[in-house]
Amino acid sequence: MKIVDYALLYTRAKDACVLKLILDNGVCGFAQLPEICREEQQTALLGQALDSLLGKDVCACDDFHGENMIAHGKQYDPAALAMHSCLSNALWDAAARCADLPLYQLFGGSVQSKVDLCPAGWDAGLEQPEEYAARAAQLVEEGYRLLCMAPVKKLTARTTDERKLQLQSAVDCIQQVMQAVKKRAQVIVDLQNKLDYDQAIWLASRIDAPELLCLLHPFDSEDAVALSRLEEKTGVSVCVTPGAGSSALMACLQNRRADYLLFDAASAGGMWYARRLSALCEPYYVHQIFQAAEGIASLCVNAQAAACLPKPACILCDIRALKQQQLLADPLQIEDGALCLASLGAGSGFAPNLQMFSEDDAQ
Amino acid sequence: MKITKIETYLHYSEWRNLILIRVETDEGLVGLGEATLRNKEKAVLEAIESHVKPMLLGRDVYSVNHLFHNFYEEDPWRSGSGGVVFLSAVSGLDMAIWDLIGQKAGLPVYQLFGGRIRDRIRLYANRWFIGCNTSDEYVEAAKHVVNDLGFTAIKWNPLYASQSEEDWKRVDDAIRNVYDTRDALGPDVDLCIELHAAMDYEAARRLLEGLREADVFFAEEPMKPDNKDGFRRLAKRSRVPLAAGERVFTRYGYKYYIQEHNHSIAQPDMTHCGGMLETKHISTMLLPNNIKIAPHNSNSIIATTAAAHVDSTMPNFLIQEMMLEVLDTNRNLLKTPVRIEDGYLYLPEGPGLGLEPDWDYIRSVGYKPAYSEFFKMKSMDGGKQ
Repeated sequence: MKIVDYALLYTRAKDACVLKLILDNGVCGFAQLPEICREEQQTALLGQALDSLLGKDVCACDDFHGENMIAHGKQYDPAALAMHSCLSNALWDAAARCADLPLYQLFGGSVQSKVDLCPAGWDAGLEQPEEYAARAAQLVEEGYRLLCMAPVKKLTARTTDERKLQLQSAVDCIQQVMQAVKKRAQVIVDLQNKLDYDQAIWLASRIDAPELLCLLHPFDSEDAVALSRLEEKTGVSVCVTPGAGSSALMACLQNRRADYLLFDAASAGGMWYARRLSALCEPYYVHQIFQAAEGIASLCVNAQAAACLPKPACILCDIRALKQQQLLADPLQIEDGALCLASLGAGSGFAPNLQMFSEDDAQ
Repeated sequence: MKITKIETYLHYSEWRNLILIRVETDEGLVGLGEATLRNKEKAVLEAIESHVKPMLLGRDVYSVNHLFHNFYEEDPWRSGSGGVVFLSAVSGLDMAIWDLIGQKAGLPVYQLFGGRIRDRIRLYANRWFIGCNTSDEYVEAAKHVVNDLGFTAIKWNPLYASQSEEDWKRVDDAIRNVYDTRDALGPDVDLCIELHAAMDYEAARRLLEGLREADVFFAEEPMKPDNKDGFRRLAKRSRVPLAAGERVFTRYGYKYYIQEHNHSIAQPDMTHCGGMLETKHISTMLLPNNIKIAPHNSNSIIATTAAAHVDSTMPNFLIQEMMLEVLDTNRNLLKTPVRIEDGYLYLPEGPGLGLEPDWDYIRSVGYKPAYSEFFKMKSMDGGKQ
């Protein structure tokens, strides 16, 4: 199972790039290259890394998997970590395809038959609370039991009172959505780090309801005290992204920074690493939300990690990604707002529809 | 691939009854596991036969995650700490299932755990001192295990090398025994001492202060593990690294272990703490807390090799425990022995655990009562009751 060649595949619009590893037995491994890695400097590094893989057994490339990156004492910026995630995912994908097994089975097997999806991005361009409510109700009718909304626009007002007015508009949208989905779905409110601590308290104290699952990224801070105080003062749960690596995660867990943590297996160390890091949340009773930030391929890889956990909250993904089934050779089965794990084929489940991609010689 | 048959064997081996597990599948693959728990072997056997086996028969092989979660979260009488009997049963089956998953995928288990970062596993020898009574006998046996068998690290309880009955004298004798051993072996051999939770704080403090210049690799369980205040004080004073953890189970148990942070070396036992993947998870939790792992293991070559698979993938791995009797089980239980040389275990390259058990031999040796003196009820002053 030696790696004999590789290629980068691009969609015609060049909006997605897929790494293809080719083995001597004809099996290929695929992984989406995160956008952050597609700058010139990163592609040069990727080329070097790929050249170093040539001739190696696909199962003897341990340096590219999450644990060993840390073991070797390498410091990773997000772009480098995303690049190695892509390599790790492609290697895992190839190894599992050789065994003709979905990866979650190599990770110890799934604990459930499907994983809930939480669409995001459905509220882009919406302005009025009624518009939010109508669209949310439509998604619930389609079967989704979780929705992610981002109602806070850029806070442009200069005075505190004017900013509160802007925030009040967001509160109105959230309340209308929660009313529209009442008892049928829960809502994640993505604040995109746009608020400060006081604004987050102000907003959270006005939207506490059973339909609210959590506030995502309320403010730009890793201050555990501030985050936990937000929960204490308002009763609203918080979700944040832990920093890269197990050190940052353990600090997050031990300081009880949030009730929910966000992982992305496509860019934060790869599928296996994400699966293991998320397992560390269990003894701390912190829930996991997986984020498929870059299309349907990242949905597949995050599903592999989520499948192994007893109660993953969901996979958060852009609603446009769910409509990219044409990029897949074998479409995913999405029923009642959940991804059926049985529809994930061998490997990561992401087998690109080669008619939708053109090859770009990366060597 | 479905699980079609699970067989368990109580197999007497020198000093204990091993619990060996054979899991068969509808594709003809056979998985091998070990759930040995000394002096509780019949309880573990019953836990497997009556409680775990019925859950697994007919199920898909890819059920490791489900098995653990079912035991930990779903059943109220098995959940929480789980209890060492049930956790050993689950751990042994976990091992056999990983063996099967690896075989099916054509990959060694270490590959399924993210790939190895070392090809060989450093071992420390335990139970090399059987039959020794005096300090001189201990030193001679230590020389044998290092010079003739090639080990570069050994563990023993120096309190046992004392003939004294009074605690304060035993501490002095133990200190002398460690220095004598150091003098006999030279500076290049790592000396690990275990103390079987036999001391109170004062005695432990005196012993460890007395060993400051002996370059002890670690001191294991000088006091009872639940003496948390004692350990907190001892950890502040002792220059000898403290080790413990064989009686801590699962990630949930290690959460509190990490919080207390009294030990710099953790000793999870893969056969009791929830299985191979659970041990891997524990190592990931310990890594950012700067706690190294020296896994406890008092079982046969099968559990030792399974532990080695996991060890090979841990950045914070320090050294693996191995009872000297493992060398016998390596010759007897396997058709092709694992390579153990110069104090290292070399990982087998085959898929799964990479072991080829001699099932005929395993079946040919049955159970033999072997209840250790250590566990018999005795008078608290050491006399007969």
